[in-house]
Amino acid sequence: MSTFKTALRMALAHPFYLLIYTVFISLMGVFIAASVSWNSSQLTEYEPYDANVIVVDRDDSDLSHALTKHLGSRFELVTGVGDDTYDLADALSKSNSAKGSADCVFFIPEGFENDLVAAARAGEALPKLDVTYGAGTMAAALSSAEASRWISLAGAAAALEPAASNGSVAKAAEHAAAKRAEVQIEQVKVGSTAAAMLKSYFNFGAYAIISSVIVSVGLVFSGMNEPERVRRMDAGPISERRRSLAVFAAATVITVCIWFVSSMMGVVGFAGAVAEVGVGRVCLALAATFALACTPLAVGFALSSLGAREELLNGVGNLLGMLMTFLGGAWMPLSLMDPAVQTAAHFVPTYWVNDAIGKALAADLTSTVLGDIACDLGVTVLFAAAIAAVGLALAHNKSHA
Amino acid sequence: MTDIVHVENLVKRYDDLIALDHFNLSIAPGEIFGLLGPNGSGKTTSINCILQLLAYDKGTIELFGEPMTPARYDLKRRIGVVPQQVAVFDELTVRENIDYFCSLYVNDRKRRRALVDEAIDFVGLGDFTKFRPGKLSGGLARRLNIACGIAHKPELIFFDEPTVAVDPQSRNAILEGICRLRDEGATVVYTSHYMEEVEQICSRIMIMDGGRVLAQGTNDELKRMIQMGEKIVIEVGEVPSAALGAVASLPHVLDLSATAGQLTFSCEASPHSLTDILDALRSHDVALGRIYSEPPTLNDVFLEITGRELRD
Repeated sequence: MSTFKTALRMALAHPFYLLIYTVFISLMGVFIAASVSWNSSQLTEYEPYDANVIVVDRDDSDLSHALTKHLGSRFELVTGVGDDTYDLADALSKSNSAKGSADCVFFIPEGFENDLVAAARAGEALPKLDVTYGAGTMAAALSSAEASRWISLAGAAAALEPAASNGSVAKAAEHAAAKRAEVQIEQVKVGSTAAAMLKSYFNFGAYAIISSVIVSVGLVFSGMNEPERVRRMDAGPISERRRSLAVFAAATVITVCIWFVSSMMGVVGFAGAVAEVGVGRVCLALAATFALACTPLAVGFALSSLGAREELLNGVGNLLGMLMTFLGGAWMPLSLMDPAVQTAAHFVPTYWVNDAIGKALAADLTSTVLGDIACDLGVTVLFAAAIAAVGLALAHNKSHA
Repeated sequence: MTDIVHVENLVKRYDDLIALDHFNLSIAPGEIFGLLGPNGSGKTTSINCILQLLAYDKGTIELFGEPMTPARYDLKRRIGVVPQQVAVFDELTVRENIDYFCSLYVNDRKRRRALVDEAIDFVGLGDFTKFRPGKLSGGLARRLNIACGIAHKPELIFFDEPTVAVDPQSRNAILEGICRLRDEGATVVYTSHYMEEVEQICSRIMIMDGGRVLAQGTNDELKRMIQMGEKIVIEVGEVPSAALGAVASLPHVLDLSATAGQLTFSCEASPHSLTDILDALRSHDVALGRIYSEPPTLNDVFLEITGRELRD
């Protein structure tokens, strides 16, 4: 059994890591990419959340009428249910689709109008409504927030116009509550749905490649560099350089296999998309993901030079995988992140890789675009080279210690 | 005949600490050479220097009559190493481990297969070839460690405390195996803390401490180097202090220790030691029980040469 084969066995002795990190996470990427892309293309118009509410008005005043009217304009007002505990409980317990069902019940207490106006003008805390939630707690919470907003506006109107009648306060609150922020939906511009799906997959698939390569390659290097084993091998007739080259070759083979499996799961999962985008452009994107795979290879080597063991390799592999895919914009578009985060993203290879993938899949492949992609890949490989250099320095120091 | 190992004036320093201080060593072919010394005495450092695993500051090392350097892979090919720790791969089976370490020395796959089979038979691991090392008992793991070091049939083998933490049966099997290797023509360098093992198998012994050679020779030669010629143990009844004073002051008694019901004397080599002691005890009416007299052991030699104070 050669050093190369023995090194391969270090990784193959842990098949579950390969299965979970490479296959399972890549599969997750396929599902996520498919769902994210389709959803974003279907949502074109903003629709506010709806709720079924019952208002029990025990005050029978201008303000209570205005509040009831406002809630009715914003939500579905359920009528025909009296101020009866059993009837109200029955409405709350009904399923959403049943007639007369309610998500919540608002109780406007007796004296609400006077208490609200007096409190507002005295600068005290405004009275609150009693609210009873049904099964639809999200809808109930949203409608409760809307009621609180109206009460605040009424309180503000009463405080600003001390001489105004309660009817005027109600009108002022109604006028203010009618104003709402305008909502628009902006579609992300992509070359095609297929390209967006593939891009999403490759962005997320970076997590599988990073974590899997760090763990597997780290196991190879740490297994072959265990001090007592090294001492025994150093006493033998094979030079350290020759053994190291064999170990590095094994680590490279494992990296290529992980990259291939993860990438092919995307290519097969989105075979239709690949046909639409074109093989050449997909190959360019694959070249970018391969360049990315060099970084975890270097990280695995550097970690083993530090003496990292299985547990640490798992921890670092996962954390770096998550961090790098996050900063690469796999979880959330970078444009939505804080400017500081966007700046920090430039210091991780996934940013450059995702930029290259985006350009390869979305834009026309002009010489300028190809130059940009080459530049992105160059930066990505430099990350790997820098980390590998650190690993080499650590390994050198360790062997001379 | 050319020495298999010849070391002259070897000096190895770790900053201010001198690990080897003008260390000299000569081992003839076919010997089992015992290297004894307390912890930190320089045993492992000297082996590491000989194997070129450690750089040294001064001195010359020759193996098989030729200068040894880190790049002398032709010489390394003729050496086997059995380290103190079980240095094997947990991810490989017993057979794969032996095959891998053998492959560092032997390229030919067919020949290697035969050597691996032979090594497996030699250490008696035939029933465990498909086991991973983690599934082996301590003794079996030690035997695997040995098989990995000797499978390529080296001419010179270094055993660094190979019997640590093994049961008496496994220890016996390991010692018998080492003697068989010697009988097949190998030269063995053996380090251990177990004096009786060294006494049992080694043809020559070196005692070192503080990086220096304190004594070397055959077992008998070493015993003759120390003052103690005889150890006498006498079972006794009650011993008055006057009696203890009387026996302790006898001219041949070097040391006396009294425990409950037993007196132990270290005496110089003399034909009258026993009779003088018995006369002195009888004169104080001490009741005597069984009496033993034995020559000094290697342990006595070791303790007398290296001192009795505790080490790390």
